[in-house]
Amino acid sequence: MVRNFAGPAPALGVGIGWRAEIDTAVERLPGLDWVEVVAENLCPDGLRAGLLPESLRVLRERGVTVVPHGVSLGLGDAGQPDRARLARLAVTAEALGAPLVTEHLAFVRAGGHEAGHLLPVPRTRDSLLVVAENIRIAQAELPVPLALENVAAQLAWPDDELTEGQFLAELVERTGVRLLIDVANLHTNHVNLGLDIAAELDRLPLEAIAYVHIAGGRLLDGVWHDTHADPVGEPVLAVLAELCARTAPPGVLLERDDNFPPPYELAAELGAVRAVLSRAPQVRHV
Amino acid sequence: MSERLEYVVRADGDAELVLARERLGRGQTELLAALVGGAPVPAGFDPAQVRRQAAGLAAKRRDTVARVEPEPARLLGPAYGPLFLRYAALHPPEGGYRADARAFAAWALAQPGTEPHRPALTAWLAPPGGRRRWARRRTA
Repeated sequence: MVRNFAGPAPALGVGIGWRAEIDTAVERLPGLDWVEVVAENLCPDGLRAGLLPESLRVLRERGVTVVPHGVSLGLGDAGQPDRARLARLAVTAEALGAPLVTEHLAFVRAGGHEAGHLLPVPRTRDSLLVVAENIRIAQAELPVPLALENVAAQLAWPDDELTEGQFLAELVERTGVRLLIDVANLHTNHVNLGLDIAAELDRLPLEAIAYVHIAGGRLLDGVWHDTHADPVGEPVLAVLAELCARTAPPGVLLERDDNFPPPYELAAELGAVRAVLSRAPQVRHV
Repeated sequence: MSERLEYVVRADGDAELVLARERLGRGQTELLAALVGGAPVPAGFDPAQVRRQAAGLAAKRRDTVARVEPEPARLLGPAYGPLFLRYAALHPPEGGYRADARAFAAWALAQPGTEPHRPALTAWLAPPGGRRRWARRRTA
């Protein structure tokens, strides 16, 4: 069994996804503990030269933790992760002084096509072998621990042998990878694919959780769309509460990617997250 | 086992992993071809789920192209969304979002209903004096 976490996951607190469109609003959010930035949106040459977007520089100077979040590495691709992409992610993590980097349990390209988004991997023995090896390759190239995120899916593979929770638990066991649990994605898979959220949370190795994602979405014709462009609603907050009833996550991060509201609404959403955290029993699995 | 695979297995030493990559790659290639390339839904999948995922990818692509290259969406106004989805159903993404935006604009020029927008789209595709905004000023 591999458990190569370097001690307990660092405490992050409550944060928000930094986006250029809301940079000054993010800087002024009261009580903001940390931010996450989409790794592909930063220029690696600039980072090598010590250049950060002004707003991120201001946040770093203030001691706000910045975590790079990759979306295009393809750890669930059939091929090995691309070394150049990994090198850029490593440079980004170092330039930001990040305590960890995160990516997804997803495939993003195959047969010469780019998906343009995160697609679920089949949860079979074959893909366990491949994804575990891809994670090991990534871990060897990255200067800090890696955490892997569960994805929102609109489809299920016909030959799945494990649930996503079981699959993630196997990956933790085999590679020591940490987990980024997206509660909005759990809700999406509950509505669209019939996932039993409580049972899924029970299958997750809670001690491996590095942090939690939360985001708003929208129900259209019985299908949940994980838009990141709507306010976080009660059903998604309820999934966060389910998770917090089992463990106190080291961090929670609000993702908002479009249709940006005024700063006070973002602050209120972070407040709603803090309220859920404060009602939960403070059990920390380490 | 194909000759190529036998070679790969001997060369790599971890036959199980190589074969797993090969099988996983086949399944992912078939699914992605159905999602972005209009290929048939692979056996065993729920066709309604595959259609929904395909629609999700096309919508994401439409929005990302509009963010990366806002001009075609601005010029076409409300016609942009429906037009782009028709284009996406016929053309798998290639060469990144900027190239996608240009390929879309070129395709849109030939579509019925875009007549009023054609001069502006044409000018955006090939502005007089070249695409200065793409030029990079280099200093020694």
